[in-house]
Amino acid sequence: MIALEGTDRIRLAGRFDPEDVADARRDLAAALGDRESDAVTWDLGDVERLDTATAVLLWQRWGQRRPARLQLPGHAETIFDRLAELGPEELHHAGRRDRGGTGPGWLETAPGVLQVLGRFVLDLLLVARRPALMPWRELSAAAYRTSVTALPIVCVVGVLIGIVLSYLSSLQLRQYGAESFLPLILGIGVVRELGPMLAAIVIAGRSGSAITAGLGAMRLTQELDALSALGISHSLRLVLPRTLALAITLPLLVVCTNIAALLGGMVSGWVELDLAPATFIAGLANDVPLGHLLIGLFKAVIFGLSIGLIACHAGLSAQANTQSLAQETTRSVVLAISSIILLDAIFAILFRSLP
Amino acid sequence: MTAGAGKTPAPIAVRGIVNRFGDHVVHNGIDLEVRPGEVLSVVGGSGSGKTVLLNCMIGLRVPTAGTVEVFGEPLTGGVRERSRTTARHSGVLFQHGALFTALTVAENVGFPLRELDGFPRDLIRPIVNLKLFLAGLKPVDGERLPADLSGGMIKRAALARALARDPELVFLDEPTSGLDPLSARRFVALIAELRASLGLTVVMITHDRETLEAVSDRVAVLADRKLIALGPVEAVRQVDHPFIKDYFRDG
Repeated sequence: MIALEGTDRIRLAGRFDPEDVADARRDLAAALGDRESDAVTWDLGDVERLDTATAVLLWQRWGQRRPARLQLPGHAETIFDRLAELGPEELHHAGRRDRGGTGPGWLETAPGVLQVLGRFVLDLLLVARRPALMPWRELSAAAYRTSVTALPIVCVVGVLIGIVLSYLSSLQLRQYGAESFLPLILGIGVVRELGPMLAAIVIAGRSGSAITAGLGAMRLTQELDALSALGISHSLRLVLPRTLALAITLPLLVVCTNIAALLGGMVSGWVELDLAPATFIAGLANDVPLGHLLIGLFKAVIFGLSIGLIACHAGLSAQANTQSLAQETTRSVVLAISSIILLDAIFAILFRSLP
Repeated sequence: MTAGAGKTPAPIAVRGIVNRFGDHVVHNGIDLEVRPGEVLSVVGGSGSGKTVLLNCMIGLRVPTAGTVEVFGEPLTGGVRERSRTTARHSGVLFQHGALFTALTVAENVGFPLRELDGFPRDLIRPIVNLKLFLAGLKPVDGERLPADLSGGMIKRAALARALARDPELVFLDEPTSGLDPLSARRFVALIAELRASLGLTVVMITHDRETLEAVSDRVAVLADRKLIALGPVEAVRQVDHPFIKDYFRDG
């Protein structure tokens, strides 16, 4: 309770709790009006409890010092002593911290990823000479996590895309009576382009983010420091197995995606164009040159490498706070997917003369 | 118990607490009443359930049986209701600080003021600066991120956050663990000083005998799923129990 008694006496009494600070501020302003704080007597004698917020409000009203006429209960002495000790400048110190915006972009990342790539190649050469250095268990665990557990999702995506693609193509093909071209169109489209792209994008979102978050969490818990302190190379122990695992498993996943998409397309062609499955399969075997499949698988290896390197780079450059971890995970997925699309465009030009 | 007029209720009263994890019984009937304004230390070997007991008091755990009262108000319902009740009265210093790593120190200390009390911005920073000062930090330290702080500074920042809302009761989980002896002694002195000036009631878990002997008014010893001793350090020292003998053995 804050009340003006007579003309020059402001009396505070009872409990002051943080919940009531807005009221206290209003009452204080009303009671004091436009007078100087020294012009009134401040009677806090009956205050049972004074919370910090109200004390700070009073202190600000008093001009950062005790007013000339003041009655304080014993328990409230300390807080005003401390406020006086702290001083007005320190009390109102308000710095800002530059949080670095949204983190580094494409251009800043490229050298970092290249550096990780360089180390990766050196580690590969090292391991090729001394295979005992390879963390085989880690490689096998990473391969399992990025492939077996990803099978259901890539297959579902593959089947659905195969059905859609086959259905839309067959609508057009029927107009020209060119139904027999369905295996050719679907075969080349899926095996060379869609299979690798779909699998890579799903894996970038699924395994790339997991790798970044995992490595970033190791920064938070100081596990990365612990590894360094043991003299164990991050790139050999963490980057190499994860990246290599992706480079090995992504082509395998692409094979599964291809099969799923072609099966979906086959069923859709059967229903829509009455194209017998046996005809479809024979068409695939006769019309689609093996080169397309090999190009697709080669692209998958490169996509796997780039997902792994980008994810590892992002994870290792996370700082020890949750916000940076979130930022790096986003960056990892966005960069991995964009780089897949970019690489795919480059390959389209490089391999344009092939079948 | 006589409910005399004007008698302040115990900040924390624990009655008949039983905690069981599957077949593993951690506590089997613990009664403990914390007096207003005292520093009560809880000691016990590892696995004796100190932190489990603390979590029951804070409301982060519903005990298998038994009740907890905070300033005469019984904790009921689930974890959310319980912790909301205790949060009105108490602040917690977690063992590893538990500062929000994405926020600066000042934002960490101001967090409860902003989230729970809805204070205006211009009022939060002075309060934060004062609390940092009370906890032995400088207002400029407020701009740093928890990752940039030393172990002792993390404890101080976490203490400032625990004190942010002027609690009458503070829980300290291993306040001096991970600190070097000098920082630990300073931190204990800080706690003693704050207790004296703010009239805090402190419930503290500790392993450290020096901390225990420096500030505790009373010591509660947990062993064999029971509270085997409760009283001033000197009295507890005399209790005939293998754990106490071991714990207070010199050298």
